[in-house]
Amino acid sequence: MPLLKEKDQQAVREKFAKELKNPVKLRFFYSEEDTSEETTITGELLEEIRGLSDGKISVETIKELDGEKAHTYRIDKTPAIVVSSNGDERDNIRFFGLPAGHEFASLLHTLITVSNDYHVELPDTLVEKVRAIDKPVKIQVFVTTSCPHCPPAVVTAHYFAMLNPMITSEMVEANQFEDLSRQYGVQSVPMTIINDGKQTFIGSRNPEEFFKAIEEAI
Amino acid sequence: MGFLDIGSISSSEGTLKDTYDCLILGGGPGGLTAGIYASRGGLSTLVLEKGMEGGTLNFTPLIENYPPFPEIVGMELAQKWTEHAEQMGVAILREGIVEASLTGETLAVKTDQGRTVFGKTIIISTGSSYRQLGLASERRFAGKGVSYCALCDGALFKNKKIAVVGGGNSAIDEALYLSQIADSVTIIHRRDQLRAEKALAEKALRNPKIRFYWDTVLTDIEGARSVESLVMENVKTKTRKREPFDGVFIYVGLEPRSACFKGALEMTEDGFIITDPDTLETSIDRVFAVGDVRKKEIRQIITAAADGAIAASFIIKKYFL
Repeated sequence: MPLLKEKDQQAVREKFAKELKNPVKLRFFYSEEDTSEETTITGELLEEIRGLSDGKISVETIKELDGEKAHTYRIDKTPAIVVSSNGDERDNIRFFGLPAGHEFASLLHTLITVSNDYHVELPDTLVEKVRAIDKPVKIQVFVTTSCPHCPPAVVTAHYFAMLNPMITSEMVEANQFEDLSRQYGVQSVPMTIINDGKQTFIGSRNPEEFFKAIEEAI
Repeated sequence: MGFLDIGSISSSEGTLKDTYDCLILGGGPGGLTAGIYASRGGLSTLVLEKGMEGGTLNFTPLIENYPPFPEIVGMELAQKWTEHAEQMGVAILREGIVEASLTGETLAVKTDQGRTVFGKTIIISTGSSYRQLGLASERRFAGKGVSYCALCDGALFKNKKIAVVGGGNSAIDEALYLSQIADSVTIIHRRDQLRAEKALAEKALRNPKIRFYWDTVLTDIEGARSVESLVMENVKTKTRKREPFDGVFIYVGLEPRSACFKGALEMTEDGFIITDPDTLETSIDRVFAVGDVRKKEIRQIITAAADGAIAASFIIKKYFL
């Protein structure tokens, strides 16, 4: 049985037909040891959205977590999805955990933005500031899939990564990565961790405020 | 697996006008309904919403008192409402407001994206957020075991022992939701009975995972890095006790989102905007307030929707006919 209801399939198909421009590549990482339901469903879900994209979305499935590709793409846990434009090898826009619930909206919006030449919806002045960052930045946005506040935080972080390859942005589903959540003391979402804890904030901030936290972290 | 949200983030499309006949600040039930009525009345209408269309509906796990839906998930109702408004030609801009200028011939608001939008009339439907108790330790542990959003954070308290402070509809709604996830839910309420509607209260009283501390207030929250225990006082016997808890969700009332209009509009001491009870016009002509943000007795989805219909209809009658 498909994961998306028929009505939603139709809506996604129409959305893709209207809004997808360039081909998008999804790299889906899983490992044989990881038999979790979330990982299985992530694979099925990506396959389903690929089928609704009229050939615009391709999915590469990578099994070996200790293999060369996982190493190249800096993948240390599964399920993981790396989103890029087809043909470029960018690895800095990432989802860890099943992007269900509200995070499915984050995934769809990310795909569409990548497909439109990474054209982000941010004020020009901020775009310039993000592009000027010349030090490595890692943003982890911890979420739960039932959290309505979370997608804007994920999308803003992903926008920053789209603008600047120095920035890596990750959605992390807090329940699926309990140890990591415990390490950072995640008890409220969205919780954003920049450069492994140099800066941390809870809640959804507007892009300008979000960027200030990055400036303070580097 | 639960639901898949396919539409809550979408790209802004179309071009904005400089001036709208009716500018609606906030896209919850009141704002969207006002939009539907204004748009059908022939007014050019823009709703500004910084979060999700449907507002607080999105944070309500289950709604049982919005007819004719005996049971509907808040998010689903929010989506239906948004689709309806869009079908009626209501434009929605995903930006928040940071400033309002309510004097002069044309009213204006500045958005958090630095844009200025003008309106011949304005309907304020910014709603409310949950009020804090006001304890110093509450601020210290915010996000570290103190939460105001059960839907967001509930999942992080699987098999944990949690407390809910409050006795109104929101507190009970959320306690029922949390009881599906947590090991146990203790409702801490300062009175000896619930303020929530009877059907809801009875559901909670029957729930084996929910227990009650009546006549009790939360006086302190303790822990090293996160919440570890709660200190409570019985208001009748004045006895205090400390008990281990992993988290606490606070639903003790509403805080109106009216800071932008402070000084400009007549408000109650708590910041609820005062309107004419029949027309919902505020102390400034052409500026209206609907839903949770205005001073009123009953704050429900259905009364917010009714407010929206009343304000928009009156605007058409008074200013555009």
